[in-house]
Amino acid sequence: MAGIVAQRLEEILTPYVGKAVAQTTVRMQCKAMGLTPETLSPAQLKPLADRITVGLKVFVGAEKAGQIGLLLSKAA
Amino acid sequence: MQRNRLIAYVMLALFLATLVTYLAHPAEAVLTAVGNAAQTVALFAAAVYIYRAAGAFSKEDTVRRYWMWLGTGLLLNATGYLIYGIMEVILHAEMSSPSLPDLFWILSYPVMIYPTVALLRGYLTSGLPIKLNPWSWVLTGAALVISGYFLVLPILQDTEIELLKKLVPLIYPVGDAIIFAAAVSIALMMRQFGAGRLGTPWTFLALGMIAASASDMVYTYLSAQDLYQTGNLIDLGWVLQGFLMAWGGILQYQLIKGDTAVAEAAA
Repeated sequence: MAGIVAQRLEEILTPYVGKAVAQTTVRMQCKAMGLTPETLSPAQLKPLADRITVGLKVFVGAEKAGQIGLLLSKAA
Repeated sequence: MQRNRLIAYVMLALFLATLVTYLAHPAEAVLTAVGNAAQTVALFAAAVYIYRAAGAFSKEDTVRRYWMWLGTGLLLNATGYLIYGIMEVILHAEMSSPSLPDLFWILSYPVMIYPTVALLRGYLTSGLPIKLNPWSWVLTGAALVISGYFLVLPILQDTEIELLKKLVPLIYPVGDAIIFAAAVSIALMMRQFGAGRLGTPWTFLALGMIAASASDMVYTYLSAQDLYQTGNLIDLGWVLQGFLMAWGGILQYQLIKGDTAVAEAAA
């Protein structure tokens, strides 16, 4: 079970990438940064949001991906 | 959003009007005119909305140019139909192969294949956890085998046609099989997004490409067997292509520019 912060990230991503991909994305990016979704803290959000944003660029462009990234970084 | 809904209804009405005309079996001249006009309008609409979607990306976005290429491919396709319509319906010209429309249609293949494959690759390497569906390989293999056996092989074995003249009819089935394979791969890949909006534009774009390539392949086969006649329902595949791809373009634009709530929340 993901922590509250990770769950909030998934909620923001779900309308765009669907629930399954949102959960996997958060888990995968956390793992790549040596973090766990269960213990994710607000202070760790910015670099995590930046990593997720990179993946969205090819689908929605840098501007829109940046907006979603900002929402992600304010998720806590 | 209201405007988009109206556009969707107009496109649906045009498609249904074309279908009803085809089912009513009017005179051949009417069928030719209606079919050609519908194909031309649908494909021009697709080009316009794909260009609009490309414009929604910023100039720094590399993918913007792929969307521009896609729009140009559709524009070439639409121009081919427009010229074909003028030559056949208005000028009553004797259509031989290769003709001027063939030039535009053949040119549209690399212009469409390049951005489709580039975007497919871009999505796969985006970093999001999406991958090629194994069925992509099965359907790609099936398309290549069917196209090779039923369309390419008979052309190669035809001893009455000179080698150089074989080139034009060969380009169509080969190009269609590639587009079909790329479109099926993207469509299946986008299903991984489930109800997520990121995959919706490409689902429609890919379905449009599948409709066109399937129609092309059936048309090539029927023509080779002398079974194709004006008014065949496969003509509607190209109309469907235009409207589905136009809708895909509208959804892509909407995805980038339409969601103002996110922009406001992020500001």
